[in-house]
Amino acid sequence: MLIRTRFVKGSALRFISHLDLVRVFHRAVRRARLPIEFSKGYNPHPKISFGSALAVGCTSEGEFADFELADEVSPQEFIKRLNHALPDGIKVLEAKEISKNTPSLMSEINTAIYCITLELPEGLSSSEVKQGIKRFMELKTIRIKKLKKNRQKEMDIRHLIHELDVLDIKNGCVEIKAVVKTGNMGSVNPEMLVQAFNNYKIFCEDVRLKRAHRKGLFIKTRDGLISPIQKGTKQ
Amino acid sequence: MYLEQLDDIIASVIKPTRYLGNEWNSIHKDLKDVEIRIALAFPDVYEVGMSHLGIKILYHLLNQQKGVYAERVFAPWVDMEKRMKENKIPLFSLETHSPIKEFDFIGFTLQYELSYTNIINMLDMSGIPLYSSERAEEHPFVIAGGPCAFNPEPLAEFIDFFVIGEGEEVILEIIEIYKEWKKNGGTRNDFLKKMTSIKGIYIPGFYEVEYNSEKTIEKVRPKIKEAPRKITKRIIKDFEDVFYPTRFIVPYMDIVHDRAALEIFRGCTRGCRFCQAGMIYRPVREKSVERLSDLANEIVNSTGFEELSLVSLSTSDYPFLQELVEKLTDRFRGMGVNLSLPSLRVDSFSLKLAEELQTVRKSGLTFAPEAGSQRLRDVINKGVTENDLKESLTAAFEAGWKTVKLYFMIGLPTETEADLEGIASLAEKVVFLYRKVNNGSKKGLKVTVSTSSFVPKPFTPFQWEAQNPLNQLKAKQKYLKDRIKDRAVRYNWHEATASHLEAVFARGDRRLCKVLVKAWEKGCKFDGWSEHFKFDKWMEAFRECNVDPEFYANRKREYDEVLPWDHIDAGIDKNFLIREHKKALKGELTEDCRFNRCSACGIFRIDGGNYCVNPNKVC
Repeated sequence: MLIRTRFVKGSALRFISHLDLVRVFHRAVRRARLPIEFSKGYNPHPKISFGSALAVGCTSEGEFADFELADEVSPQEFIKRLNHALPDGIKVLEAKEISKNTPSLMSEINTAIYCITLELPEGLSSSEVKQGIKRFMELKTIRIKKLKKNRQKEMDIRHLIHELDVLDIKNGCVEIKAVVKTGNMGSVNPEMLVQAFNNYKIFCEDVRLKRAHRKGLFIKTRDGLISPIQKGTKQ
Repeated sequence: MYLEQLDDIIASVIKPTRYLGNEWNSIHKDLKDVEIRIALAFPDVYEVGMSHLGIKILYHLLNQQKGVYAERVFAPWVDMEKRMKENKIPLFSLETHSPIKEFDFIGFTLQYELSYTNIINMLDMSGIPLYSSERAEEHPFVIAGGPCAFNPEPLAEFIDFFVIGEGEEVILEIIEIYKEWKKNGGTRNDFLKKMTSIKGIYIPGFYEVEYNSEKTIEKVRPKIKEAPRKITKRIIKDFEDVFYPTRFIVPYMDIVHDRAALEIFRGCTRGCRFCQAGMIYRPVREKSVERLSDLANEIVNSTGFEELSLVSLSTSDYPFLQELVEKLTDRFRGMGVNLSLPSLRVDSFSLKLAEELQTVRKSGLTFAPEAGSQRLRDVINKGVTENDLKESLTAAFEAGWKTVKLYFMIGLPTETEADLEGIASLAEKVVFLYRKVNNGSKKGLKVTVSTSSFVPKPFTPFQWEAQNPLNQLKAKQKYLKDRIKDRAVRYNWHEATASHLEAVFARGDRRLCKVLVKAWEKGCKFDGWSEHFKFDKWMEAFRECNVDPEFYANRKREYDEVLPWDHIDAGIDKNFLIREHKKALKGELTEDCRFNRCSACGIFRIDGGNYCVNPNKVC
């Protein structure tokens, strides 16, 4: 059977990499004695597949993973046993059985929503901040530098940014909601957004990212954003 | 305490998971319930220190004790150290992020000599005075143990006391005395004096060293009547039931040995004459298959590790290996748990075992002939013949192996050009054997020949030998580099300069303490990492301190010379070592006493001979 889960990556573990996270789940299912399927070959590993990787340093309340099980386990039982074996900082919130032929998370997820908090330079008013974001979204191209295979590469990320909204301005910080593209067709992460803000001096030259939190991963369809957990319901 | 600030710093360094301290199975106690705090320190980075078994045994053992809290601390990597200094953050423990200075004890494990500058650096980062004599009542006691503690002298001025031998029992005895001292009040010196009542404790401050005019040691003398003349190492008598952890910490990052370790036996009696571990960890003591399989089960359940490693100095020598392996494979079937058997002697038995288990990847097989000729292998008592090697290699190639690693030492006592030539020709024979098995083709074959430079170690039959001078070691490496031309064979070598420094400290004395500090002041640290090793700075330090490194590394000692570690009793008779040394020079072998007659190494002397399992032991 296939179980799809939504889980939280909290601040206690925000520094562990995607690879580390995969290892955490591999070991947790063994500790939880869940009947996970293994891949074949010399080095069998548990059949768990994930959605888009979260950048190191980000927290999230909307990460997804699919677990392939050899025996039946109810989703409630699954959550209980797995959470018991997971370290502080990772917690499964939802689990649901999905049909075996549901497309993989990676093949469908194409949108991420982030909440990012930036430290503003002194003396910047609320309207200046909002103006800045408006000006940013009106740019035709947004160029940033990205390290790819140890080589600096320039890329345009304008088409990867769907929406930016100022949520709150207080204590010298601004909180922004960002709806961006993620997945196989190109991704933007909070670090890249901050670099873009600085490249175009939206607030100043070196605004600092204080916190980044992923609200969720979504599948963008004609009818709007839907959560991967709503997909693939078993008939 | 400075968590907010620390978080920002951790976010800015490479591999931030090194500093989190919240791994699965890490122990978090309420400090209100804690009386005694111990920082278990490994003087290298997290991924190296977390791969070491000893520190894990002590961690879990200590944390089982009520009122005691042991936390870990590793050497921060250079980027982290820089950021900490910029922000005036002292060295802190992983679990509670508390300054090390607040602890009752900081205990260093001494695994290799090239980590000594990191000890100095960690003390400095903690704000603890480097020299034992400069510490006051408010400072922690700085203690150390591990294999390098068998010659504690190069660290004598920095360490308040050393623990010689196995720690599982003695550490609890130390805690008991400390509790009492803390309750009754007293000076640091009072506590240290009380410590002399515990066997295996060496307090360097209570001893005085006198030197001869030619710079050798005249004698080592206790300064107070309580201090024993000889400090005898500790041994765990009941190895079957001694504490062994099962709730191992599971790291987030990929560490050097990212797997659970199950210690199947301790000690080794093969008697390789260069090997310190083979001498100081005697006698051999095993755990039963039942106990091991229970432990294995608990370990896998509590950690979820995908790999369990059966560790010892020589896995093939465990008499019930086949039975144990079958039992464990049965137990873990369908759980995706691999068994790994390091230190396995390659022979037909182990190849068959590996084949059954599929624990060894077809991509790599390691042999350690150590020397290139039969003559020299006899000198070092490495009981491997060329025929053994040929048979194993043929069997391995027939089973499909393609990659072979061969480990050798250069600069062994009595070595000549013929022995070096032997290394190169052995590599050629490997290629020849592969071709023979594979119809003349050497396609796919990869042979790696690695040489390290021989370092004479205390408590070995070679402890009196001179290490080859640096230029000679380099010339030997060049000889092999020029001589090994086959494209299927790769030649690797360890930096001779690092081996030279290792040789200085391995057999060093107290006069090296000031050199160590001087080198550290010049920026030496992480000496075991080639990218950080600054040999020229070290040589400057020796010159400025007026200490000749060659006196320690490249000088042959006489049997009657007082050695810096002579007041430490490793349980091994000096007469046995002399006999072995003389036999070595004649190329005579000594049999493994586990299966043959007793070689009278002396270990049976300790505690009335209760430890040695050899039924034929001589008294």
